[in-house]
This record gives sequence, structure tokens and C-alpha cells, in this order.
Amino acid sequence: MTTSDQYKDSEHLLLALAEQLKLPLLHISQHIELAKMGKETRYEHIESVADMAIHLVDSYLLSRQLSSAQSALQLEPLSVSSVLQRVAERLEKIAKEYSCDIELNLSGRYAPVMGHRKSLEAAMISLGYSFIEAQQESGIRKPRLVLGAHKSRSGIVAGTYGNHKELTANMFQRAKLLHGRARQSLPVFGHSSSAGIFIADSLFATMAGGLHVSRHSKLSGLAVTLAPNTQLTLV
Amino acid sequence: MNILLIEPDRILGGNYQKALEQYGHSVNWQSNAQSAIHQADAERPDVVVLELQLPAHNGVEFLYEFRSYTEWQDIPVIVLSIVSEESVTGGAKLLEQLGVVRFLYKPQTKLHQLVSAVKYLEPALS
Repeated sequence: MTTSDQYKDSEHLLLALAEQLKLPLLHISQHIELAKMGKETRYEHIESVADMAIHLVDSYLLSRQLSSAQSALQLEPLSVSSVLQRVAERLEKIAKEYSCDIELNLSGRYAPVMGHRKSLEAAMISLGYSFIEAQQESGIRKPRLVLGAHKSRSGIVAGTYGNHKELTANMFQRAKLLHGRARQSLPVFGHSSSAGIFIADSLFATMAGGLHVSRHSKLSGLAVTLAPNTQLTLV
Repeated sequence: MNILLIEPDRILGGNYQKALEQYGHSVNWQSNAQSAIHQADAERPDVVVLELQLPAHNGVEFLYEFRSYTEWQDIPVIVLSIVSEESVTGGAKLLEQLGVVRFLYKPQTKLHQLVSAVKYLEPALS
């Protein structure tokens, strides 16, 4: 990728982030205004949307830092189960605000994978937040977020899955091409919930092959394939 | 006034409803275009408050459908949207043709400004 391409990519990501941040900031502003009008204030909501907004900004900064770093990313052996467990804990509050059920679906035991813990967690949280927001924007009555992992020929597939039957590999590839050029590049997700996906894609690209569309327990979602740690497997 | 609010975001929808009801309006809040048409059919609104970014449809498509019914052609519509007026294909002229009386850009619209925009329509409707 040339410097100019990198700059454009970064600019598109920043635009998507700005779009997505409008919504949590608007929620916070309105809750304060309602409090001034004498209505009950939902501090939990203010706190959880503010936390997610901060998380998105931090994840964006991390993705920029990693993509501009000169040296290769230091990967370490990680347990996918423990990463997904932590992601579920971090998303719990915001999911509750949107009445979204979070499920951990880890079919079987996995060998450790090679990854960068901070990036993996940040990417998964951003991805999960986008799925939660997109489902509430689409008016899905029983929103559900599944954090799942399964084995594949090339490694361990870990991702976020939800009620997005229309999500296809072609659609996602097209969305990546249109990203930054179209208002709503990914039709399944509103224009205000796609930044988390592109930030996650950027973070995954620094340690694995980037995001891809995946199926898990009859659900569609976006996932990353992580290489197993062969050293530890041999032991 | 009887207001039909079309807002997909659960939190924002609840907030707009609370603010409008505080000022004595009756609010029917729908999260998508199809249920909004059904609601308008069940109870004729005095005013429609519409988000243009809707699941499955876009708000302009909704407006075309809404205006195709003769009995709803004179109902004023306030657009309250996360997208700016400039980014709507056809722009202000098209929205005016579709009976949009006011365009409010959501990120820069306080709840009391929405209440004022609705209040401004009261004399014309009484």
C-alpha cells in the first residue's frame, strides 16, 4: 500500500468514526437536556454510550499507530476463549441498554492462537458494538449478539454473529471498496454503525488476514481467522 | 397535536416522545416506514416527524408513498435527520415538493427546538 493509499484509508476510517460518534454524543446531550426538563436521568445509559464512544476513538488511534509502526507486531500466544469472555464482559452494559442478549458460543476446546491481545480485544469490542447498534437501528425485536469461535482448516475462526441473514461475502467486499465513498457502504449496517467494523478490519489486518464474512451456528457474522500457535501445539 | 414520529433509534425515539408529550402532544412513535403507514391509516396525524435514514426504506421513499394518498397530501412533515439536507439527492427543492415544511439536522437540534418547530405549526393547523 502506498503512503497516499494509507492516507486515504485513514481519512475514510476517520469519516466513518465521526459518523458513528454522532449518535452516542447525541444520546448524551439529549439525556442531559431531558434531565434539565425534570425528566428522570438514565445515568447508566450515558455512562455506557460514553464508554463505547471512548473505546471507538481509542481503537481508531490504536489501528493508526499499528499501521504506521515500522516494526512487525509482536504476537503472543492467546486463548480465544478468554479474549471472547473479556469482550462479552466489556459489551455487557451497552447490550443491556439496547436489550440485546449476548451469548458466548465456543464449540470445543482450542489450542492457543498467535495474536496481539490489545488489538484483538479492541477489534472484537468495536465489532460487537457495531452489531448491537445495527440491530437496534434495524428494529430487530430480539437483538442477539453471539461471540463465537470454531475451528477451520486454516486456524481458529473468532467473530461476532447476529441476525444479519443478508450479510454476504460479496456485500462485504463491495462495502470495503465503497467505504468512504458511499454514505452507507454496508446496507446491513446503518451509516452510523459501520465505523466499528472498518476499525476492526484495520486492526485485524495488522495481525491476521483481516475480517471476512462467516457463518456460525446458523448465524451470519464477521470474523477473523487466527493461526494456531504451532510451538505450543507440539508441546 | 397528534404527532406521528418515525425514528428507528430506540433511545432517540423515546427522548423525542418524552419531550413532545411534556408539551401536551400525543405521540405515535414508529421505528420503520411500513408501520408508520399503518399507524397513519389507523389514526390521521396532524404532523409527521421523520428520520430519512430508515431500515429497509429511506425516508424520501416513504414521503413519495405517503404523499400518494390524497388524504395525507396536506399533512405537514418535519424532517429530523442524522443526514444533512445537502446530502439528500434532490436537496431542499425535492423535499419542499414532498411537503417538508422544516428540515432539522438531528446532531444540531435540541429537544426544545423540535418542540418549537412543532409549536410553530399549531396556528396553521387550528
